[in-house]
Amino acid sequence: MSSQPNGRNKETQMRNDISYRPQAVCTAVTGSMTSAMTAQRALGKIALRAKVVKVGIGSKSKGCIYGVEFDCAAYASVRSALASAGVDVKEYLR
Amino acid sequence: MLQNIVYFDNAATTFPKPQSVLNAAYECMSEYCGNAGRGSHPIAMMSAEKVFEARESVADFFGSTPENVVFTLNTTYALNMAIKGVMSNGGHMLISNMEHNSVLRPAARMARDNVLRYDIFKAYDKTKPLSTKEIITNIISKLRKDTKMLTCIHSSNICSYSLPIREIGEFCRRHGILFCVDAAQSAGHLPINMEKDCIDILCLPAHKGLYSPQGCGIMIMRKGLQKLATLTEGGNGVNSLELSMGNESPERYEGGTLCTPAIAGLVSGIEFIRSFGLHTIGGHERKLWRQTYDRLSSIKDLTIYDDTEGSVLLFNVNGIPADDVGELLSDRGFCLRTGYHCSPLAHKALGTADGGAVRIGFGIFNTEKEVDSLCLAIRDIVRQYRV
Repeated sequence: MSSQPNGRNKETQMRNDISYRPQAVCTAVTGSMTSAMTAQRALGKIALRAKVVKVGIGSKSKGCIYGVEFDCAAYASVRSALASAGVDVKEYLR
Repeated sequence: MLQNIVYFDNAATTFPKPQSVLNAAYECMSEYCGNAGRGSHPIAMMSAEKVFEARESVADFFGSTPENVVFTLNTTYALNMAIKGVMSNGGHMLISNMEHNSVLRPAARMARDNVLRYDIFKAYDKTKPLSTKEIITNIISKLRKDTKMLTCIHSSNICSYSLPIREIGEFCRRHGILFCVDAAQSAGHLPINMEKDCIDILCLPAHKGLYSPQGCGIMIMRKGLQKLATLTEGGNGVNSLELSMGNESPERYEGGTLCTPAIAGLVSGIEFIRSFGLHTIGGHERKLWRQTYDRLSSIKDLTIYDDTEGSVLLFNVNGIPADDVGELLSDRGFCLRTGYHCSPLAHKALGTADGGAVRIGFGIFNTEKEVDSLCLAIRDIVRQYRV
């Protein structure tokens, strides 16, 4: 058995759209990078755009912490979607 | 690359690696190798994306969720993390008589330090095949009121024998015992589903049956498992002003920088395995095993231990030390591993504790032609050197 899939991998895709700029920025502070990406995937499944960010001033955290930025117009939908997905949101910043 | 080398040490680490795995590791190193989870600039984020993609892929392949996939250095590290994470407060643990030192030594060390007590149950008997019922009976005979955890291999690293993990898992679940499986030799060879097999913690390597780079092991926890004590503390990118590792999995368990190039390779390694399917891979290995068994079993003065078909075959040439056979085969260009394979318990169970044995580890890239040439070389060694 010597055959194998050839060629380069598909280009590493940036799922995190760094150019995304919500009109009014709200943030769901989740904690770790993994939890932020889990949140982003959960929102992506219902077509809500979100960007993983390192959260700074305004958060109650004690150091580095991550979350997702989204458009405040979708605030209720985001809360509902993240709760349904079981994502533990530490706080929402508006 | 060395010429005229035939590699049969796939149970130690698979080689060669698929081109797609090499490409993925190279692409990571050359294009986006930032520090995953340590910032939000584009290069760090690309690394983080790849690491998360790997967690998703591993979780999907073994039946868990991304936040329960913990990356470690190797399987030994993952097993230490699991055993010490569960048993650091004491109690009793069961292990099988086929365990690798990656389970036996942590257990022995913790017992020496009076942290835990452990017992060994018979999962293999060289004189007769054990039924699942007999193995469960052997487990029951070693149970104590404070038995907290059962840790065992899925497949042996010195022969192709596998334990009935689903039945053991169901037994453990019924009795409230945490079930930890060492899948170092079965991941990528045999189907494993943590939910169906009732596995609480699964430990495995990227670099063996998943055909990925060395430098990445994996500890997968079942959904909802209580938090384990941490084995290492350090930077994990979260809440840096706090003195603890926090409660969030997997970062709670991942102190220090991850080996992102190996993890990138792992994504492609799992794709590679999926492209063939476990059934095809297992079938290929069993075909080579049967071919080898048929050739070698006709040689007088040669002993094959255990006749379970699979990815590993163990033998000795009677009267020639295993290490010498390995050297003679190495001189002829064959890469195999001899000795005790870090598994003194298993060698004792198979009856090879005195001197060890020679291990042939088949992989997906091995061919029938290579098996033929290996068997001819072994036959030649027996003819030339057997007194």
